[in-house]
Amino acid sequence: MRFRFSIGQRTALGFALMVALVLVASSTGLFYTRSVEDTINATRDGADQLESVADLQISWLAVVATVDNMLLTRQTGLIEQRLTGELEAFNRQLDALQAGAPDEGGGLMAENRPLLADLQALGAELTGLVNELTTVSQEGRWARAQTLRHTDLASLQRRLNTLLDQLSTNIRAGVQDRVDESVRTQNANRTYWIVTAVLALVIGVVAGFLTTTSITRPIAKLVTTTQAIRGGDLSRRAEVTSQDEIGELAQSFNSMTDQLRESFELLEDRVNARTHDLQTAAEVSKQITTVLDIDELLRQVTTLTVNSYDLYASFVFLLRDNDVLERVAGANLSGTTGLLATLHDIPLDADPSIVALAARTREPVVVNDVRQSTIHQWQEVLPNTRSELAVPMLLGERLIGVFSVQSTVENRFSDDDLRVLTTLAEQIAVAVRNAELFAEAENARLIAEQASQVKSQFLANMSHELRTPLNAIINFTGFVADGILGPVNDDQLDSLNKVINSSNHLLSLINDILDLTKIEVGMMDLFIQDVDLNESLTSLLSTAKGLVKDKPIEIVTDIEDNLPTISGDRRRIRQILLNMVSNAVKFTPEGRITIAAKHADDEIHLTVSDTGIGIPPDQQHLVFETFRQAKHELQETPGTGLGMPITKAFVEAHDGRIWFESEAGAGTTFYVVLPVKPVEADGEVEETAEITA
Amino acid sequence: MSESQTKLLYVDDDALSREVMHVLASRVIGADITLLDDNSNFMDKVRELPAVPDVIFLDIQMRPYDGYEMLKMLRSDSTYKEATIIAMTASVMATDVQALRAAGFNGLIGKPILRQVFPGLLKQILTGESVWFVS
Repeated sequence: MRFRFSIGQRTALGFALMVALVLVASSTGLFYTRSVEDTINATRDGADQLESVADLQISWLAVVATVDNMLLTRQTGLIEQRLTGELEAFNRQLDALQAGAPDEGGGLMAENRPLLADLQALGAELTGLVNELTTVSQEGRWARAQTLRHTDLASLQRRLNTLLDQLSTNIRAGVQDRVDESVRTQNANRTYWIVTAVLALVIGVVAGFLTTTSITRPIAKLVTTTQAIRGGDLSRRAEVTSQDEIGELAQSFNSMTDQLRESFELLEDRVNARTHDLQTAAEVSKQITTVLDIDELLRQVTTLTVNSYDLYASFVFLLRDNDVLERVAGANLSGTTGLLATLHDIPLDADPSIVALAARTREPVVVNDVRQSTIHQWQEVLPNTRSELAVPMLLGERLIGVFSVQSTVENRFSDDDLRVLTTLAEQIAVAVRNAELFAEAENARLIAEQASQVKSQFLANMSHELRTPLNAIINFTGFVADGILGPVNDDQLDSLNKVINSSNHLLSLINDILDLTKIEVGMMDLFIQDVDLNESLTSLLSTAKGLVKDKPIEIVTDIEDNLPTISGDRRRIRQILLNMVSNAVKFTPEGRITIAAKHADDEIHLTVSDTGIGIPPDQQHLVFETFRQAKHELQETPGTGLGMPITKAFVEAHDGRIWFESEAGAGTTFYVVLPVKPVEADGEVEETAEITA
Repeated sequence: MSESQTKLLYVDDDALSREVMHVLASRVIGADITLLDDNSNFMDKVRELPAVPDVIFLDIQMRPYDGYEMLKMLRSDSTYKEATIIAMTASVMATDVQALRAAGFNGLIGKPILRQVFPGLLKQILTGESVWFVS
């Protein structure tokens, strides 16, 4: 249902309708009241007139009674006066009756006018008769008077009575008619009034309902819409089409919602743009953290910047020698080709130059329209540049260079862009510094690597150059000692054996130094193969007995049968065991050495304990340090001082653990734990039986 | 020289090393050993040998040919294609050993040679075992 009226108009209309209804109802009521009044008046008039008739009759009777009295008393003089009075009274009553029948408005007595005229005539006759009677009485003609009284007067009385009866009847009938008519009118009025009242009620209710609905329904719709909008559905519109105040409100509301949505969309666009910016920044950051080659990095950053921000060109200048901004990377929309070749480095004091200005002031420089700018330097290779932004790349206080971007659009660079590009510039500065540091570190690493290679090569050469003469020394001494070249006496043999032992010691020293060097430069290589520990321990035992020789040392074993085969470097594992045992033999003048091995939790526990001299507490921390064997012991206990550090390195290369417990004077226990399956190492399976002297 | 005598060839430019091997082979083991100090015209000299050796020991750091080149020359000769060729060198770093294996040597005995161990190693070599021994 559509209304073409405003709420004000509608309310006014409703009010007017109500007033009209009230007026109709009131006038109907007034009518009703008036008709009731008419009835009352008619009745009262009728009563008055009937009273007048009665009064007239009484007056008549009074006249007749006076006449009778006069005739009876025959005192004319006295009675004449009374009679005149009574007559006058009668005539007054008659006049009054006449007066009750007004000419105007068809009054009650209209139809009784002939009767009244008759009464008037009758009154005149009465007056005449009374006068005649009076005259006759005064003349003493009583008989005549008596006759007049009983004939004419009686006749008059009869006529009077007839008239009065007729009049009374007429009056009653008239009153009755009037009352009936009035009652009919009242009935009609009442019906009309009831109908009007009901109609007024119905119309009032309907109009009120419609008016209320026409106001509340759009409001309800509006409320629903506001709730939907509050819930985030900005596409919703208030469907209020009425042209009243609510319609206006709805239109205002809708346009407000439109503005809100536009604002939201604008905001969303800005958020999207910002997200895009940040994604680009993040991507550049990622590049920065992953690319350590600075030229590659800067090339990627400039290309990414141009592509991501839809720019004309992007450059990175690095400050060199504190006076020149060297352009090291550049990208434009068509690629980097040619750009780098045709652009020049910019002196720090160049003017005009946006880049140099940004570098000197250490503040970003924005030129929104290069054609209006005096600080922009026109570049032939970039004819379409309209706006330019140069951001200094700072690392704390240190100027690294300048990051510059150009666009073919005027006013391209907003505050947001400035912020993002400033962040980018900072990141590039950090990346440049990182790359420098990386290059320095890489350089240092290369130098160190070269140094360690030189060291290894030196040691390899040294090994070769020492082993070759040792070959002659050991063997020729051995040939002599063995008597191959002729008989030797005991003194000679003793000396020869000392040469042989010293030579063997020198050989172990060479081997240890080579191993240690490999460990130090991280080049120790394990030849991983299956190692049968029971076999290794058996061979160790025979070696141990050889080491003990004449020393009063008892060798005790506590070795589990069926130890598992482990993965490891057979030669190194043998060396671990041998070093532990030879160490024990070395520091045990007499007593007992216990060699134990057991398998638990996928680990092999190897233990060598002695009852030797032990290690004083103040020297225990030196055990695994190279060349730190106590010097005073060197005479009695020849060793390179490298055995335990090398053993530790071998154990750890197998992902194992080594430690010891020692008490000076009581002995030492070395513990080694090796995993059954150590980490795989490079190397091929060695098939040979290798023996280390 | 009997037919059953083990025939060895040892090529080394170091005189002391050659002499050690000579004493060891002839006096300790009783083998028939031929010593070569100069490997110019190497293959000619090898072919001039009265008999094909059972085992050939090659030094590695030599001139004009190093051990690898000699090995290559021998392997390209049908007679020595399957011969037992053992490196005898003082260069015994792990990388050297790997290179020798890769090149196709049948084994290694590092210098210094241990006179007590050598006879056993030679026996192993002669029975076809692979021997990579570093003292």
